[in-house]
Amino acid sequence: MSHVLSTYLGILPNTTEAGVLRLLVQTGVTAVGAGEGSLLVLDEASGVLRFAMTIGSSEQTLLGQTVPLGEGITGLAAATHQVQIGAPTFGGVRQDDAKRAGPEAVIAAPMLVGETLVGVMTAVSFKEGKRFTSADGSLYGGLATIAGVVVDQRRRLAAYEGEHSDVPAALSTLAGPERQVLESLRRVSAQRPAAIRQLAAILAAVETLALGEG
Amino acid sequence: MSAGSLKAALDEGFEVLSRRTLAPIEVAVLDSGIDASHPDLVGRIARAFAVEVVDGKAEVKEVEVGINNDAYGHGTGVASIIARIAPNARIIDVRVLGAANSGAAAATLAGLRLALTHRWKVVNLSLALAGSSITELQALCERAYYQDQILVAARRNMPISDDGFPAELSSCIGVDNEEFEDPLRFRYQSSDKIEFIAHGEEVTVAAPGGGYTTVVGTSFATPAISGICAVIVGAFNDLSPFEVKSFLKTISDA
Repeated sequence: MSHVLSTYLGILPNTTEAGVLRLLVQTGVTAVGAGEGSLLVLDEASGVLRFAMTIGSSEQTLLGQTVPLGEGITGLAAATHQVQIGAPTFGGVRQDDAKRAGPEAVIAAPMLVGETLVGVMTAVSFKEGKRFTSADGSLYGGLATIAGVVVDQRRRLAAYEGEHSDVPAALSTLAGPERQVLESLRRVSAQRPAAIRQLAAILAAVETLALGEG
Repeated sequence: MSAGSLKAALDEGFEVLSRRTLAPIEVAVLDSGIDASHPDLVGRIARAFAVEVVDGKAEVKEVEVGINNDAYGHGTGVASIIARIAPNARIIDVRVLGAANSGAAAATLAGLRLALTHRWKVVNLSLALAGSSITELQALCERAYYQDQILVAARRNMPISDDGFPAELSSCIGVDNEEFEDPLRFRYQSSDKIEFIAHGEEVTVAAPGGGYTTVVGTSFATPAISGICAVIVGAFNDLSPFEVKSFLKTISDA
């Protein structure tokens, strides 16, 4: 969980922000009478949503798994930037025939930073006959909106700190190119945390090349 | 249409109106696509298009009719409501939502331009665009209005800074949702940008693959109004958008 949250949202583990996000999912799950809830983050490069946080019995099985952006109610919420409410599919219009395995009711609410999607919060119920209402969707959507604000504020603060903090003493002792690389890393980490993974891959490749040549 | 025949239609009410001989009306559904093979929709989809955003540019292509063209199931549900209410609706499937277009206003704007080019009489938009698209969107909606096209659009399910565009625009018919015992009933509210409220709670709709599901939200109240508009203009096909909106207000619940 901590790795996914920090990589894609810039939210470090054991911070107030991580605690608030969990509290928002927990509050939403309780308020709408869902059995489970989760927070998925957008991995734009891979075209998937990744489970970063879950509440309920599926916690261990879902963490780290992905949902394609082009599928299901979670993908629909991501595509439309709108709260979506879903129920199972039945064979007949009377909806009294055998059901497929799966949840009875789902809410998927987008987490937005401005007009940019950063994730989706879901609430799921397996209770037979359970249906979520528009009021449930509005409430859960409101909590997802607050979650988006939490992420936005964290990013703004990190960007501010990156721009305005003094260069640590250790950096000032480094030579030009080393200092340049570390300062660049600090800025990327503060402003585009999702890009750190790509930078790490590039550095690893450079390291392999350099050691190979050496 | 004479004032007398309009008065007679209003007196008849919607249910009697829908039993008149209705002219076929093209209703474009800008959504996630439609499963045209669903039993409720077989023979109801006249044409199908897909819009995809590639490198920031929207590309439109006509696709095969009669197959499952739905990325999420949303458009199939929306289309099934229109088909149920308006027997004269010739539905045009315009897929603007998909994994590749996630949140991309460009796809919806391209779909709307397509609808304007073809002058499809009713356009259902069970979606909302971000405020940053407002300039182009407003120009397109104005153009549609002056071309006598009727745009019906959903209020955001979770409004924060706005109620959703194009639903807020006066050139469109904006729709909110609540529960009505009769799914053909709806309300008019004069003091709101979103002027109509239709049935959008626990609506049974067609699901891709031939089944049915229950849905909730403004997305599914909007096609109820689109279907009613298709019946109205099917009965009186020279009505302007202003007249259709007035007609809706007159037959709405107090």
